[in-house]
Parts: sequence; structure tokens; C-alpha cells
Amino acid sequence: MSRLSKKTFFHVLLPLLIGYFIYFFFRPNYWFVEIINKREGLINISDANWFQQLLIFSGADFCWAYSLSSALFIWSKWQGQKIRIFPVFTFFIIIFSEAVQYFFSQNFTFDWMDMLAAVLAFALSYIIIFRNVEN
Amino acid sequence: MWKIRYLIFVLIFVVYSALHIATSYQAPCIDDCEKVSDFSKALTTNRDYVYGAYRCTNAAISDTLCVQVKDTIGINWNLLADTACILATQNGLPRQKLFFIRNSNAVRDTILVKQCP
Repeated sequence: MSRLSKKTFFHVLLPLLIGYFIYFFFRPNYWFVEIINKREGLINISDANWFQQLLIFSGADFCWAYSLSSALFIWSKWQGQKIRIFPVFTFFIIIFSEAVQYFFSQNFTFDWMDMLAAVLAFALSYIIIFRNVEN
Repeated sequence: MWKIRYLIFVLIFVVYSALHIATSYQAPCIDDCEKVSDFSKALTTNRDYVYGAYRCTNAAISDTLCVQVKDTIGINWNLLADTACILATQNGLPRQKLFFIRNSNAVRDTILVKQCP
């Protein structure tokens, strides 16, 4: 397995998969899970403690933001040319993706915890992938 | 080669945008969801000891409703259960099984189960 494939698997695909499992097992009433398999969640969300609720509600956003940041950082390194403002651009995309939900409140739910999770995910990806801490 | 690189960049955006919309989009609250929401609103109005009502399970078809209440002394829970049954029926939810759940010191217990006519 090449270094690029390994990075792509662990930092892009795996977080996406974990995020999907959170929806599949704990939030099955979401329409995109319902169309695949209508079933009950493993636990009733209202019975979950605050930490479980945090994982269920913001964990998937964290995984998505981490995966996107990593995908963009890996692409940035792979394409060769150094773009100095690339992390700023990525950060803007992450913030925008959460903030835009505030303006479409009828069908989307803006949540500060999701925003915080996304920012933390970006920071982690920046440190691990962009700053090459893992090398 | 640069065309492939930028095509991948665009592809990343398309895939992640689709995923984000798919996981964030809230389906409109219609049918049973709307009825439960209306019932919950009716039951909590002027009753500060009732937190709200919701479906006890995520099952597609359910006839059970959970009513979360505050641990309050002096409340006639049987009377509240009768009122809840009337409100449920008025909001298109007849013959429901109601579970009244009390929150007390982070411990939840069922104080009353009522089968509505």
C-alpha cells in the first residue's frame, strides 16, 4: 500500500465510514438511512447521557470535517504547487458549510457544537496532515 | 495532468457537498411527526411541569408516546393522563399508550402508564 493510499484510507475514508456508522446505528430516522433500511436505533437518543448525545449529534460532523480537511490537504500536497493560503481556504470552506445552515433553518439545523466540532476537526487535520506531524 | 488534478479537486467538493447535504437535511415534520409535535405543544401549554411529548421509539409505526414531566409535588398525574388522552385524540392520535416519565436527580422513572380509549 503506497503512502498516499494509506493516508487517504486512514484520514479520508475511515472518518467518513465512522461518520456513516454513527448515522446508521444511532440516527436511523434520518431520511438517507431510512431509504436504505428503516429500523430502530441502538439506543433511544433521549435516554443517552450528555457525552453519548455529543458523540451522536456532533461526532458525525467532526468526522465529515476531518475527512474533508484531510482530503483537501492531501490533494494540496499531491498536486505539487505550494499554495500558501490553502489552509485558510480550507478553514473558510469548513466554517461556511456549518454557518450556511443558519440561513436555511427550515430544512437545516445550525448548532454551535457542530461548528466547534468542525473547527476542532480542521485543526487536527491541519496538524497531522498539513504540518506533517505524523512523518 | 493538471486537468486531472483539478478534476479531482472539483470531485472532492461535489462528493463532500452531497454528503453534507444528505446528513444535514431535515425531512419536513409531516403526518405522525406533525401530530406528535402539535400534541406536545398542546400538552405543555400552561403546564410548566410538562417538558414535552415524543415517540418512545424510532419505529416506523408506533402507538406509544412518552411524556416527560418534572418531578412536582401536588400534581394529579391521573388527571393529567386523562387530559393527555383527550388532547392526543384531538390531535389525531387515538388509542395511544402514554408513558409518563419523571426526571428526578438525573434518574428517570415511569410514574404512570395510561392506555387511551
